Amino acid sequence: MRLNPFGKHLHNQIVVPLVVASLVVAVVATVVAWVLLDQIINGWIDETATATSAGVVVRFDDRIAEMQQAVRLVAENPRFVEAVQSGDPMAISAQLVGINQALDAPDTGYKRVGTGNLMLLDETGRVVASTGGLSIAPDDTPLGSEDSNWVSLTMSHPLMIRLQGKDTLTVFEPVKGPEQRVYALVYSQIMDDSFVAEFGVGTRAGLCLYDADLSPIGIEIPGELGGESLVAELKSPTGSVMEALEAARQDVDAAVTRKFIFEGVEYRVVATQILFESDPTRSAAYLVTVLGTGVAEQTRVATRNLIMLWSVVAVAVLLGLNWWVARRVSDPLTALSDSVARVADGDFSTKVTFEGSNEVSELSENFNRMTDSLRDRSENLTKKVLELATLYEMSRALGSTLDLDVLLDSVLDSAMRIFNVEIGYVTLRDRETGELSVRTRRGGSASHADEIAVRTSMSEWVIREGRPLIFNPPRGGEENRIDTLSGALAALCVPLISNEGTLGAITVGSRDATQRFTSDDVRLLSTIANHVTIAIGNIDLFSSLQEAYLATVRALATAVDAKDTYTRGHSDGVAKFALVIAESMGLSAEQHIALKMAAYLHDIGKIGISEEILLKPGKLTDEEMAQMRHHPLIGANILRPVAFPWPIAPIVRHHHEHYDGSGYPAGLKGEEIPMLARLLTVADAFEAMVSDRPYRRGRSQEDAILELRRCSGSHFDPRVVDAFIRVLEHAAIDERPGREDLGDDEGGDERRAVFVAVADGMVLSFRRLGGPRLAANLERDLNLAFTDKQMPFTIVAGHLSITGGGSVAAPEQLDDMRRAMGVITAAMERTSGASLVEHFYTETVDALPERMRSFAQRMCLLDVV
Amino acid sequence: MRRRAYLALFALVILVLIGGCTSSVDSGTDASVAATGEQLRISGSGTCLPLVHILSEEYPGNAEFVYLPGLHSGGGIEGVANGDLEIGAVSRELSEDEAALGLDYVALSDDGLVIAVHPSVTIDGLTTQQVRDIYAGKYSDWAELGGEDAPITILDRNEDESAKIILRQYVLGSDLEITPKAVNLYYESDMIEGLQSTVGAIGYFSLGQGLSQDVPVRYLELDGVAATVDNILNGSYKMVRPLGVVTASTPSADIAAFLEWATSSEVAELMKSRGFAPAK
Repeated sequence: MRLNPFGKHLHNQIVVPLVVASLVVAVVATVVAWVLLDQIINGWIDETATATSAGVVVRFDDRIAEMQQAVRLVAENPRFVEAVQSGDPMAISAQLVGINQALDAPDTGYKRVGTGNLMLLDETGRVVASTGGLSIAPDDTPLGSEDSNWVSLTMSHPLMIRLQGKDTLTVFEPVKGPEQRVYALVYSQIMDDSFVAEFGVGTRAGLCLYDADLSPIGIEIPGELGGESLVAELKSPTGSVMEALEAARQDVDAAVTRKFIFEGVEYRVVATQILFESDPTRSAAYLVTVLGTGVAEQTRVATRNLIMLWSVVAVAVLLGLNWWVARRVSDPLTALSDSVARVADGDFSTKVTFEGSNEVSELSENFNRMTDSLRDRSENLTKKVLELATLYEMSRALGSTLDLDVLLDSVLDSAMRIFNVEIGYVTLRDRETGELSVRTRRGGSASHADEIAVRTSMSEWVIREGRPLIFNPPRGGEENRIDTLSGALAALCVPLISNEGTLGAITVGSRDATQRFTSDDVRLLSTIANHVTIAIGNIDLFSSLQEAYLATVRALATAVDAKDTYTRGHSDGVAKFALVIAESMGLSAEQHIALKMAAYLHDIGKIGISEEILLKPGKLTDEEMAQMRHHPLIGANILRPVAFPWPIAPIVRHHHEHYDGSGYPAGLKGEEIPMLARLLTVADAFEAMVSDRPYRRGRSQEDAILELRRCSGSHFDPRVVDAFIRVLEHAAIDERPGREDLGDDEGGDERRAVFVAVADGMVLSFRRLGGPRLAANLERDLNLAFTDKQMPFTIVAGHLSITGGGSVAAPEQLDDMRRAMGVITAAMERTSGASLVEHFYTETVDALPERMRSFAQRMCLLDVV
Repeated sequence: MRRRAYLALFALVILVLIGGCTSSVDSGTDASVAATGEQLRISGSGTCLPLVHILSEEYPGNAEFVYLPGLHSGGGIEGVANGDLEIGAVSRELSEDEAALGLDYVALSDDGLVIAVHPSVTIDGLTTQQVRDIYAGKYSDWAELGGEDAPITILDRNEDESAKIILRQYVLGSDLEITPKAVNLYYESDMIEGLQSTVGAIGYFSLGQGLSQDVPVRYLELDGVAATVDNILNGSYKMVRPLGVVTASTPSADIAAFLEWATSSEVAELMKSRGFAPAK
């Protein structure tokens, strides 16, 4: 058992593994891409968060640097220094206003929120003048008044400090005041949400700034990232945000990205510490950068979908491609396989066609050539087999019949079947006269073969020359040289050659102008002809043997006649009646011959009976009768040594048995008696009854029939008697059969019509053979004779007419007709001879319709027949 | 044939997949459709631009307004004349030279110029003389003028600014010498900012801008007349600046439509509600 995991079709065996492979590849690719994608995206988010955070810190430092530079520039502004030196608060304040506006100078001239604050403090920390977002009034001490604090603050660099309740980023710059006092110029920027927002421009990140106590300073969350609730959450951080802040407080450099999930949305947070170096207050700030993962998530989903899509597309494309390729391979194979199967089943007309010019189409061409070749061979083989079969059948037929006509019919049919033609005929030459006659024919246009046609046919040439003749029509298709006898356009004729010369010819032909006969055909037909020749020889031999037998038998019968002069001719008579009965009972030809022989010989045993008994007039004594009754046995004994081909002796032995068993010599009964013996008994008895004997006249036929009837069943076999009586009552058996009057009951018109038809036909036959001139002479002679003998007939242009009318009585008319026929035959005999007259008559009568033919025979127009 | 049907099915599947994918990718990036109207470049007086800005925001028609950095009135006129601008904002009368350029001028509003102080200053009004004296430097503390004790910080504008011109025209007089203790601010917004954030400051700016932006300063009565739109319209408050726009003499259809709308009575009410007195 073989394992077929992919089905038993080549197509599937190609497609399935490839599809499985491509699916596996696609799935693996998708999974790998998926995992990698997750890593890449996560790394990207973390990177972005860290980078954003770092970027913000850098901006923050930049801002501090800018502020320090700005305030330094202000401190060196001569007009400001001059105002400070003057100590006039009005002037100082005005200068500060102008400078603060300049420092805050926005891009557009009409919309701005002041977040900067610029103020001047004296050496005690009291405000000399102030302007800006903190709204500090003069004389306040926003930084406290303790000296140590103040000094250390002013000496140091930027710091985060709460002023007026607001977180500020503040820088200091010493300014020379009046009277060598050192004032401090203080520039602060309020750190609120919008301050933080400035650092987040362009980052898409949310920024939260916390002071050292981790309480929020400013929070900026872009609208796309979250709403008020997120801002509120970040104002009092918990969870991972708090963890991040704590981690940043512990370790300055710990910038680890954490996952932060709020209200089901995922964010990334990273916390960074912002340090103010050399700040005595140790102020610190913590920056938390919040980055949404939405974009990344979108990117991830889109990329993942793309990967999946293209995997699916790739698999689908591969599937289609596989399918196509597999079909390209398997379709031709399937078709070829089917075709081969059909060829194996014997269908050689199978063709396969594949388009293209690759190996597959070459294969199909070669396959087609192979089937063509196979078909040719197969056809040739079939033809040969048919020929052989026909030849075999024919040879069997040849061996199984001794009837020449049956033989020729059978041979001709076989030959026509072999050559597949519709015309065929056999011409035989009469051995004595040398005349040709058509014995058997099939097809052909001429209604009958007359002598001229036969004489000009190709058979005549073949028989004369003793050579075969092929007659193929010219390719041009002109229908000239038609075989005169058959009308065939193509014909093949071979002679039947025996040792004694050419017997005749066999011809096959076709009206199909495309038919071509070849030398192979000649050989084949010659073979057939040889068979036929042999068979004809056999038949001749057999018939001569039969004749020899018959002659011998008749000689023996004559011997009996010579001894028993009373019953001279008895054997002939018995033979005649026996054959009539055999005919009536439908016995075979063999039985006919056997019966005929037995009839001739049935009384041969009388040779052994003394002449005193045989020729004794009057009744025999019992002893004499007993002697007499020995003659069947004696006859049988005489015949026993003779090797007749037929069982003659039993017939002779039992021809005096009676049906009821009362006969002699064996006293056989019913069916025990040989059938032919029973038949012979009837014929013997009948002949004995009706024939004249020297001592008595024969009884009439009617009496004999009555006697037969009387003894039927006792003496005779009733079936034989019935068959005999049937014949006797239907047609009288006579020396001149048919010579009976057709009574008045027969129609005179029909009689006339038949007579005219017969006369016309004979004249026509004569004309056909003798030509128009002789026919005209014949007509003239006939008319003269009719007139001379005062007969009511005239003949004009081959047509006989009765001039007398219908008043003549039937018997007289019939006599007239017979006399007229006598005149006609006499006239013809003078011109062409007696045998031809008979031929004319036979031909004419044969051509008549059935009813007219039988009528003509009963009319007995021609005495000679 | 079967093969064709399979191909069609295959193509269909691919199309559906691609369609689904692209829609999921591109759904977020649907670009907004650009305005089909003409691009109108606007600049000019910082005093007048806020009004134009208000109008352009309320404008129901189809036009794209592009604001360029402020150029003062003269710059706006020059920009329109040489084709850099479609609309120039102007907050003063055109000079003779400027009128000769052949531009169209459309008056939009008579904007009051209001004198204001930091909210910490607790006085309601000043007389013309008191204002003159403050700017001349004769006072240094609000206590001298009846307010709380706080040093006066004087905020001023340059002499070529329309606000200063108008202030001199109606209050200071053309020959008053401004004390050096005053500071000159370049933009009107600086003036507003300074007034808000400096204790004891005094200054002057556009009433319309102050009212429309709700600036938290104290508006002072001048000679007992409060600076309100009604007072401007009834003529009792006289210190006003004409705000208007100049365009090319043959403005495009978009500009013409905008200007026609801007001078309608409906827009007059809008301006009143925002603190701008419509032009008479």
